[in-house]
Amino acid sequence: MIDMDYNTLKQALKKLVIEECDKDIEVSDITDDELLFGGPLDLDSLDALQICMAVKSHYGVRIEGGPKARASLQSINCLAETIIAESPLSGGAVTEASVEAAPGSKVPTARLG
Amino acid sequence: MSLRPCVIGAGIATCLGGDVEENLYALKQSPKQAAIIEHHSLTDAERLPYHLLKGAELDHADKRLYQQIDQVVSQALGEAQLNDEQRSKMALFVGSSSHDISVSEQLYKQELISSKEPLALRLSSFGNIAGYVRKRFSIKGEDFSINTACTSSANALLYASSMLRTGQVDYVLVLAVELFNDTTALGFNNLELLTHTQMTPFDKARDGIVLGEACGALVLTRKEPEAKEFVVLGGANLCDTHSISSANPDGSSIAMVIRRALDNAGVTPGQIRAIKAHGTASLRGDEAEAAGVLQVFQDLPDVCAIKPYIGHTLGACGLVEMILFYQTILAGFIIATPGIASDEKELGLKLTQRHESVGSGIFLLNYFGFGGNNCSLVIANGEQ
Amino acid sequence: MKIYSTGMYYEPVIDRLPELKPLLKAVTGQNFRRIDRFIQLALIGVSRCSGEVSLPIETAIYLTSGQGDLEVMIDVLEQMLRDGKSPKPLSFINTVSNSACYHLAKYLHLKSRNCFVASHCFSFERALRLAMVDFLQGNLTSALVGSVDICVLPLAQHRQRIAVSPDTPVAEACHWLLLGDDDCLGEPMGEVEGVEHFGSKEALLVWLAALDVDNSWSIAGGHILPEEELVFYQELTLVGQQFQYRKNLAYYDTQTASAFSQYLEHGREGTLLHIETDGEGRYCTFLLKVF
Repeated sequence: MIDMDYNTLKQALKKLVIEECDKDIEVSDITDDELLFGGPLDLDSLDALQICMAVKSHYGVRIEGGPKARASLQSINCLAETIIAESPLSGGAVTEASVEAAPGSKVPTARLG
Repeated sequence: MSLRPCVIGAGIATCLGGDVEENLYALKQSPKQAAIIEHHSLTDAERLPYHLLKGAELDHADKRLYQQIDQVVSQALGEAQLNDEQRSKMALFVGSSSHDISVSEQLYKQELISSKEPLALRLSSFGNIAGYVRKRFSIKGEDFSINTACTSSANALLYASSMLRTGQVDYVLVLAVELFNDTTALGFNNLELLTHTQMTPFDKARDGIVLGEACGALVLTRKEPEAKEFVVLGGANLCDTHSISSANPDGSSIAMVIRRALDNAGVTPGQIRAIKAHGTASLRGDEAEAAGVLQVFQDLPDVCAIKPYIGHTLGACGLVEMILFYQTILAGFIIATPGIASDEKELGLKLTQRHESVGSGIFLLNYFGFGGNNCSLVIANGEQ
Repeated sequence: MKIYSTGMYYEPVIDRLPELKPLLKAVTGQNFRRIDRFIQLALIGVSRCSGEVSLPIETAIYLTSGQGDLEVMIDVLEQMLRDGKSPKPLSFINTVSNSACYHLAKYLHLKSRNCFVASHCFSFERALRLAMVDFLQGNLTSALVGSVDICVLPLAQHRQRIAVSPDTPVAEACHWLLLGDDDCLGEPMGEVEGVEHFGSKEALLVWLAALDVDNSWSIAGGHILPEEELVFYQELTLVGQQFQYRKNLAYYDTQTASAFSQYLEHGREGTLLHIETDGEGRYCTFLLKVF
């Protein structure tokens, strides 16, 4: 189910990519469908790992390596669709709570040790 | 016969055992799968094989670290049989990628529980391990703590040998240390470089690293070597800026450092009897190493890998794999990994499948690490 | 080893850390990403050192520090052990000290020897020693030797970590020397020799007694060497004056490197004899000649 927060999610994901990959650009500089890898953003495999980890932390969605990761990380659109489809929250919908888990806010995880 | 940096004492502790004999015995068999680590820092999804030191318990990091250091340094100094003055003037080289971070982690965990003002990284200074070794073993010479990721102790050995060759010092102690710590275990896990099964370098089925713990110590001096004594003929260290996490897969930077090491040692590729590969069983790492080796060697000598036995011991692998390698040569065989990379179809090289017998010779040891740091060493024994 | 140029960054820290990105951009002309303060400082310093020089591709890099990349290490430990978060890939990679060396080599387009080395009390001297050994063996004709020390807030905790008193002024600093024996590096401004280590005061005294001192010499002591001991060595060697490079210097572990920066820039020919101790009977020296 995709609801009207889809666009808000995409904006949040752009912010996540910028923050995690330490890019000196604005959210408006990333289009929804441009290639994240092999495109003008010039991201590499380390960036991919960084993004996947942040997505897991913020949205609870684990992106496995290999072809699946390549597909999910192809563009902001693809990433948003993956998160919506695989979000552990009810019905696969993106709720306010998950969208508000934007970069910068702390998501509680299992305490180590 | 000229004066060369010559090994006169060694000590080692790995998952195979706490001294040279135990390690040699295990190396005459086949690699064993590592136990799955039961450590509270790893969640269920992250339970991974890890080659822990034999008989060691993971808690009490400080006691563990310094006990292991005591053990290997005592072994090496015991074999070298230096007098007090010689020992006092030794230069000390410590190679590790994590140094005493395990102790810092333990301390911080305790403070988080019991202190009103917990302080992360209270023992932040470099040189803690060197300081301990100096005091414990009454060494007053220069100390160098080197951190170049996986090539740390290889570089430590390279520079220690250089100091001997240039007459800066008469005796050196090189110490390699790499013990389990949460930062390294979780860090590697999150880089998705680890396998959940076993390390199979250069093999079609390779899918990553099993981490391992190890400590090693070597004492070297500049002397005319006796027939069985191993010497460090030379080596090289170069930085590859292709990527911070892997060497150029076309092999060019690895070929360059190998050639530089051979030149430094004054030998040609044709004189190399066997190669100890770095062999991390990572997709790109092995590809780069195979490509590099094949560019240098028209006729490939025997190639062996040690990590299937002890895991990737990171900063310690330089010294520890060198010790295991030369000890097996002295015992008359080259390390074998039956069933791993048994044909050249995948990357153009295969690993030794049987314990090939060997006498004296000249050998190439490869080490490559994060930050593009590449190091190759050339060692030899016998009349070279 | 001849010295061809020097570059540095030094900034006392009172209550906040200045933003380094704009300065890095101004000094290097480039944007960098995925690097932290430690690496930013290293790049600023090396750019100031090598900026005007066309470096041979095989110029080696030797980097040292008192505490390394404290910022990323503390961050990782706090997030991991206090907050229950796993280390991020890029953070973990930067916990290894030679990540800085990688970025330096990449920025300078070098394909060369590259090493991070440290030693309690004698870090800069050790880096010089490794460079010297490589020069002696003919492994290279040019090298960059540098040190980086950063601060991490809050300063009260930082002072605990670096073991100074609560009221000690502290600073962030980075110092680089371009060493070599290569005409393409330009005209040398000085040279460094006598980088020696002594396991006892007696051994140091023997070496000092053999020095050929003249009235162009100055003497300086490191952070740990007591003032009265420096005076004793001054009287012993008959060196005419002290060079008090630490007089108004806020503390950082590799302050010794500042002796190079300051003496090379002080505008007069001469030789600086520098002595440091670890307070446990070991000593390190160097002789810095300015042409």
